[in-house]
Amino acid sequence: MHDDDMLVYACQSGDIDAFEQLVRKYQDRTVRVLYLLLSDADDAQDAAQETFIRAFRCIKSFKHNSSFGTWLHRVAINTARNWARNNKRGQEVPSQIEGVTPANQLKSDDLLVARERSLEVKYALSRLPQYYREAIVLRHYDDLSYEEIALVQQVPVGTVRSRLAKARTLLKQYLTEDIDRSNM
Amino acid sequence: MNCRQAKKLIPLDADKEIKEDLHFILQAHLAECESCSDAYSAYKSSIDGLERSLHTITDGITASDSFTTAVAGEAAAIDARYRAKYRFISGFASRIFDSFNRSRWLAAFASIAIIIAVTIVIGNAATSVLNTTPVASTKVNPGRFIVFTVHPTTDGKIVAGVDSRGYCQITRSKEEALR
Repeated sequence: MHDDDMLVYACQSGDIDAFEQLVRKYQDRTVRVLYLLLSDADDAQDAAQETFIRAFRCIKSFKHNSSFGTWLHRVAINTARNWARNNKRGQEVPSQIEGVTPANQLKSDDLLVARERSLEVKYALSRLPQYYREAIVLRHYDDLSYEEIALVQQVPVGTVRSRLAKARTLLKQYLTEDIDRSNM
Repeated sequence: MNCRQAKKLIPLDADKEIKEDLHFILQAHLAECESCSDAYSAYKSSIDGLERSLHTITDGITASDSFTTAVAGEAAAIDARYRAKYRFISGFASRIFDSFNRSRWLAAFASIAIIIAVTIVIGNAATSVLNTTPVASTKVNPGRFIVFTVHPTTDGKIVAGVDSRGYCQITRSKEEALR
């Protein structure tokens, strides 16, 4: 049996230590995913705590039909959606990218270029509609398969495929716009 | 495979979400089509760049030091509240059970009285139905259907039922029932 399954079974029978182990194992990943979805570090911390509390409250309903990680992702995604709805900050798109140097002033230093590029990506990501952002993060950050994403988002695999295609097209469009703007 | 089909499959192949036979067909096409091969490389490179960026964005983002303690503390509080509620309910049930235990004769008497009362009520209801004098009856064979036809001008109600011997009884005037 998988380690997670044993911990979940222990947790379902009221073992708080087992739950603490699961938290330790998944906390960083959850905070990072929520950071990508909410674009705010403090919101990500709070939403991650809420995710684990929600997971604890309903862990008895976890039927082991998927891995614990996938199930936790589903809880995190739902928390992020509620968070974005209730705390409008999560949906706000910054008017400009903080700390981004115009492309023509970029130094040749690869690390700096990567950092600048990542800020552009973060900005473009924050402009994506929620479902598209989730699909991109789950596929390209968390490396989930289409089937796992379908489980997390509770949609058919075909919908995941089309969301990803649309999200990539939009991202490309937003990034191109950013480059054009910084070259102006 | 033509170029249009190949370009549709490129994202699926890059995501390793393509069927094995299609993967080999696509690879064969890419080997001989420079344009599609370039499109594949460009796609892979942009996706690799996106993935690198996503990891760079989250560099240094970790759960706070107090994260585990805070979550585990909240979980323990929830668990304690749940256990307290459960103890209250189970305590209430056991108090009732204990009081019954202390006066077993009373409990036994109450149980018998309840059973007798329920039997009388059900028996009366059954008797009132079964004792109705039938004005017409017919034998119902298991698995057969009987269709009752009621004349549109008929008023009042027809009560029909099957008794324990399998007889269907119609409690209404004989003439009307036989019409």
